[in-house]
Amino acid sequence: MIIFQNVGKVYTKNSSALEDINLEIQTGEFVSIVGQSGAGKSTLLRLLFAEEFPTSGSVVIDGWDVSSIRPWQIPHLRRQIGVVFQDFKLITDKTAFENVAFAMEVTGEESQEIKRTVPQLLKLVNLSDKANNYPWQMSGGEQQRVALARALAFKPQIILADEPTGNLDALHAWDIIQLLLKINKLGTTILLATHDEAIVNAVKKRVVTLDKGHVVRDQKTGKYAL
Amino acid sequence: MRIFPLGRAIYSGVVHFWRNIWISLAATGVMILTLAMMSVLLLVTILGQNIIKGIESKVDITVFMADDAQEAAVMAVKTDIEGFKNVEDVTYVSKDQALSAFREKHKDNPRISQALEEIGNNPLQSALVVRANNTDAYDSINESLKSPKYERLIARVTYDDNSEIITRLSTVMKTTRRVGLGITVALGIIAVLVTFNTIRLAIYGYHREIEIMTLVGASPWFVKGPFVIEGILAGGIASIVTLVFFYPLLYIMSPKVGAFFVDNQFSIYNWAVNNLLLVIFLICGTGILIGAISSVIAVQRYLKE
Repeated sequence: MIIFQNVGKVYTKNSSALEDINLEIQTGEFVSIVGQSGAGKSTLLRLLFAEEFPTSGSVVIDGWDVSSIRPWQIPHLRRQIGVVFQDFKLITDKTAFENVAFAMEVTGEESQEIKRTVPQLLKLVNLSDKANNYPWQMSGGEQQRVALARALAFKPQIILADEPTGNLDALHAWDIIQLLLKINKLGTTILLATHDEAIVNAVKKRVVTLDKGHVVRDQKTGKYAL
Repeated sequence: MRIFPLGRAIYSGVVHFWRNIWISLAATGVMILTLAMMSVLLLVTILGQNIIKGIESKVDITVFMADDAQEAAVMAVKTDIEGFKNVEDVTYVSKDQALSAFREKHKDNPRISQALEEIGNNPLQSALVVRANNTDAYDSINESLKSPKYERLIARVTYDDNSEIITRLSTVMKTTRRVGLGITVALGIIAVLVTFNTIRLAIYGYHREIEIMTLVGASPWFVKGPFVIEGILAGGIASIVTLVFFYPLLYIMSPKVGAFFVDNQFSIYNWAVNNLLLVIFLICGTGILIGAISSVIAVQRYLKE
């Protein structure tokens, strides 16, 4: 469960990224956050994994109050949320296997368990044959699937996807969305920030529209409309 | 709560070191230069101290005793002087010893021998040769000898002849020590800074990776661990390489260095062999410590939290 209560985020006096956001997202929901560049989609997600902090209001995710989180608690919070980024954010000198394994290592997981789980995750994203490839030996779509497998390594209750298809062609983009839908079916909450109209319309799930830092529309089964 | 997984940090550190072997070698190379420079500084300091000690041991003052002074009285004065502050040792030279030393020194000069024969008796005085443990002390020793107690027993003290040279030497020694220490410290700091910056540059290349690690929930020490291991690895390898070259080079150099100080028995190679554990401890300790600390500081910069 995610709750935004009167959330505001101000960078400088004259530019506020978010203003008076009130949202409630139930466990197991698939929510697309849409809006033009600069509408505040990324900021909204970054508040959830404590990469940024609200200047007013409170953000609660899975019982963690991010607005008052202590620095030493942040790694623990992040181990409960899977995050996928537009630029994949894979560690370049680690193979696909090692990138996924790393997310498990940080939690202190046993090596045996890591060796057992990572191949399963890579299989889930259809990359069993690329386990020993480095990021630069893979296509954008493949890299994003590795990133998704890494996000799943924590067995998270929530996955945040910030423009995950932004750097991919339509075919690979759809691959990723299919995977997200599949993961959502298994009970994981998904927050997808995107400005891809075709994807939002095809998904047919809840759509929250942001414009200049405000929520201007929140539809149960919405379409992309600005 | 699981404890910090050291095994994993060591494994990742070694793998990372190997996968980025050129950067690792560059950092190790700079560390070798730093350690080599520090070793040279150490040796120069030790050598310098021994040269100063050698020169200081050549400085002494001679107390010539009055002709009629009895040997027992002279020995009493000797005991007194031995009790003075900063006196290293006092040597008694009897009239006979002085004469035979004089004869030996001038044996090639028949006129002096002849003159001695003509005089008949021994014209030389017995003496006490006083050596202090530092050149500053002679002044106060000389003052103590001026006590009325010794007035009738002591004929002459050579301090007055040598005082100027002794004072000057003492100033030179002090300056040399101070300047030497200053140069050593300054060069040491420069060497450490160069190494530190090399490691910082090497880690700068990974700042994106460090950011990613924290984004997927790695705790600060989990991120730092492998880099610290890499730093220790670079420092350790650099220390071993330095030590491997240190002794053979010293063995070759030592006689040449000794040649500058002909009558100085001190051998820097022997010193290094006798202090093997100290040398290993200093070089390895410095290398490993610089490697580890530089890594921690460098990574810390890229950890926002």
